[in-house]
Amino acid sequence: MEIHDLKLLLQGHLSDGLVTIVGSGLSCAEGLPGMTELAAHLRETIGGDLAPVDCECWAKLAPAVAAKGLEAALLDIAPTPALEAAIVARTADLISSCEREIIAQIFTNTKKLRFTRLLSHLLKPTTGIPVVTTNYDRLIEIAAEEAGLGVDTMFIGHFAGALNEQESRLSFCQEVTLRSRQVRYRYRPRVNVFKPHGSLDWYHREGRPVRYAGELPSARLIITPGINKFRNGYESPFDRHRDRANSAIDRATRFLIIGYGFNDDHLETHLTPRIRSGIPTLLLTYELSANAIKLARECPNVIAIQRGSVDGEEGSSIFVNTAEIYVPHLALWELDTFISEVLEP
Amino acid sequence: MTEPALQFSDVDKIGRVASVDTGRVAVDVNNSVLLTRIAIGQLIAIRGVTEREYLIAMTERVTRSVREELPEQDDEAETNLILSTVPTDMLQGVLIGTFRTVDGAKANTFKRGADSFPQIDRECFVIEGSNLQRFMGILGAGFSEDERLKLGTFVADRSADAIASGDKFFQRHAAILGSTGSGKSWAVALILERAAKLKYPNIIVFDMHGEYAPLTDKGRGGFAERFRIAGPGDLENPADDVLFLPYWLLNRDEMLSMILDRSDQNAPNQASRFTLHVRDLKGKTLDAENKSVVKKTFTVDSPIPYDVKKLIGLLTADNTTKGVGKTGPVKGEWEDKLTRFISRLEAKLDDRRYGFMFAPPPVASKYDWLADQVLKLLKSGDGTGIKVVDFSEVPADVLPVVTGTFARLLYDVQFWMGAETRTPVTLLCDEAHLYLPVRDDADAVQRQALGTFERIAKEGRKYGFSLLVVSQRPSDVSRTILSQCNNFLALRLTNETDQSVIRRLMPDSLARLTSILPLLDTGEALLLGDAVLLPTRIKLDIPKVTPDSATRDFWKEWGSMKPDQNAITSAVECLRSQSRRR
Repeated sequence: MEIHDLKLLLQGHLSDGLVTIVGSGLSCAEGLPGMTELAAHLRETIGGDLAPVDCECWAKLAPAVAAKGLEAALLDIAPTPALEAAIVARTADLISSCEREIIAQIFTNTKKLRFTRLLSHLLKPTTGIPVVTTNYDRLIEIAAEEAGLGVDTMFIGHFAGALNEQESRLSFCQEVTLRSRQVRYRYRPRVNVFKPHGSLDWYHREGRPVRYAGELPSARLIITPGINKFRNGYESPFDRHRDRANSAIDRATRFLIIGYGFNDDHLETHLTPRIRSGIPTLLLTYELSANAIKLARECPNVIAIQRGSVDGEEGSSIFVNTAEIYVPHLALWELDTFISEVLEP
Repeated sequence: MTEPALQFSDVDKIGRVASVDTGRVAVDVNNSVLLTRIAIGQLIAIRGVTEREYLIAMTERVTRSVREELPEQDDEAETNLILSTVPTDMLQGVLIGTFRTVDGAKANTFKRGADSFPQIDRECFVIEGSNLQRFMGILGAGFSEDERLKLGTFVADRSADAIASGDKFFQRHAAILGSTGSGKSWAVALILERAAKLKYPNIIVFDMHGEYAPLTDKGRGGFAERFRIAGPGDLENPADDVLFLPYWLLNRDEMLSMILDRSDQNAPNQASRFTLHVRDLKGKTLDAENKSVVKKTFTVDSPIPYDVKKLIGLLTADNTTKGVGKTGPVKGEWEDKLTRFISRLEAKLDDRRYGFMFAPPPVASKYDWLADQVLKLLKSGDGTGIKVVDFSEVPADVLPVVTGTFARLLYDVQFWMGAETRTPVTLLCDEAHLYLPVRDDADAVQRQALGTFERIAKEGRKYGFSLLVVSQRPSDVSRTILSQCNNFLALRLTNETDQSVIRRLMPDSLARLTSILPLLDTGEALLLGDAVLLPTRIKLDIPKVTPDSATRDFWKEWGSMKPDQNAITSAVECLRSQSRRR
């Protein structure tokens, strides 16, 4: 396949009905810790203040974490509730401290997020650009605002903002017109961010989920990987976010998947069947997970791009129409390069 | 990283797509200020299927109506608000192409035709100012350096050159149409001038009024060769630039269309005897010239010299020979059946206006003369590529025969040339309505000529032979020929019938564009066809050497010029002698 034809294919992909799914890969690219750093951080910080039962559980968990990573370890051994709370807290500490540095750089215009660049190349449907992310950080929201778009996370208010879908949507309404007895709402172009795994700025307060952008010493609402994911996932606000994410996935006519490894059972139940049913999908990631490779090899509607190297030369390994091709010297898997090479003249 | 040609901000936003009907788009305008700046023919960009793609449309209608709407919400204390009336602005456009900021590995591409339909509610932007300049810039940039044919500047943006593809313009026939005085001959002169800059152009201009003579005047910057069809005054001692079309070049049908009266009951006999004798005479010539190879395969239509006097002799013999019966002479098989035919043929031979055909100089009856003459017309290089053939002294009733035979001869030569060795040739038919009439109005002679040109129009492209039809009365020009034209340079056309001809030739979606034809200024043209990416309004450049087609100032000259009596007397003599020289 010629590079020109490949680019045509990729350019044509970002059209109507696109749903973007962002995984931890994109956050890592911006400088947030990945799973490996998180596991190391947990091993260092968890311990001291826990009850004996929890310590016992952690003693079992810690070697497993070192051996096969946090995700797999937590799937094998269910943590006690107190231990889970500790894991959530430590995870949040680590991510928010790294996130703060990145936000500071963006604030002083010394850094521009890749996603901000990408958003200017996406169509802006009147219902908003649907973005599903499994990340806890708020880089997507910041990227959207930096791109001059509104961000709808279904929360309304600044201090202890409440979850209110309708009010949140109407807050973006710019004008209402009447055309031959038909009322028309005109909304600001916006990004609808769905976070089925929670967010750093969600807290529990008097039995209700609230949003507060700053740091609080309370329990944050984020779901850690592992078996408890499902149990926790059905509480508000996760349920609303997951429902909306799933319905966006069900209605999508195209997928753009960035830095996501298909290792999340939550999304899998909807996403993989949709991809297998023939929805055109573009995958950009540093390294495709086993699940993703399987999809790319079996579905002709999937284009998957990962880092590849031949004889020490870096390039991209691309799955198009179930066949793998190698493009030398072009890091198309990397979002910045992808935008410069494919979307900008 | 190149700069995107179209960069829109909210200032350029004019509205959103309200409805789509195949090639037409209705835009709901919410920026009434912008609307006041929009003219018919303004370019609009509609967001396509990706953020990097725009569908380009051309406005063809702007309307305003009034509706009721919710009032402005500036007065919050007001509770019993009433609906206020506001204008609804609508804009209708025709989709003409697709622009892509990125197109695979290419940047800023424009192509004709819309790949996708605009979606309802898509944003629409006006292309103006620097966007327009950059956009017009890419229109010409699509053509490689050696196929650029610069015709002038865009009316929409006078700083951008209007570039057409020279290849496409000549490849599949073109037409230059416009009312008298709209600048047709200047446009022709301009195109010839551009072609003359090439190394080996090959254009033969059929000049009906001798107005292109200045182009052949090398002293005044001319760049063309001039030829004349021999008039009655040239038969004695022809000059070098005089062309003859001897009768033996004509094929059987052309010849018969002039001489045979189809309503005569003996017409089939006459035609068959004529055919037989011509073939025999041509055969004898080949024998005399020792052309045995040609002799094997020649036909009655092959251009081989023969003596027309001998032909008359043979026909007269047929006409008077008695048959042999049992009891003595009986009425011969052809006796008295060819009388009318012979007399018609003799009348043609005696008519000096037909001298260029039936009374050629002796040299033109030589076997090798034809190759020399065709060579004169088809050679190129060293400023001989553009040939202006002056038909101004050819009588009107003969015109179709002359042009038709002439065109057929050149086309046949081109046809029999090897594909690799062919140079493309274009015939520029000035005042085409004079000799390429609509088929229903044509007599037998004209129909014959028409057949030739229609054949060229249908098949010429394959043999590198094209027509450039110029006319002020498109409605009187053969439909077949015009419908084969792929490019139109339409200047001002005031007549409704003529406009409707062009409208019929346009693809339906662009037909509305022809509504500006009567409004064009002199020297402005609408260029439609595949030689340009967009149907565009162009201000044509002024040619360096202008043709001799100046409009006379009646009123002024009636006030200042006394008619010259001697000139009138001598003109009467010229009329009698059918020659401009006395």
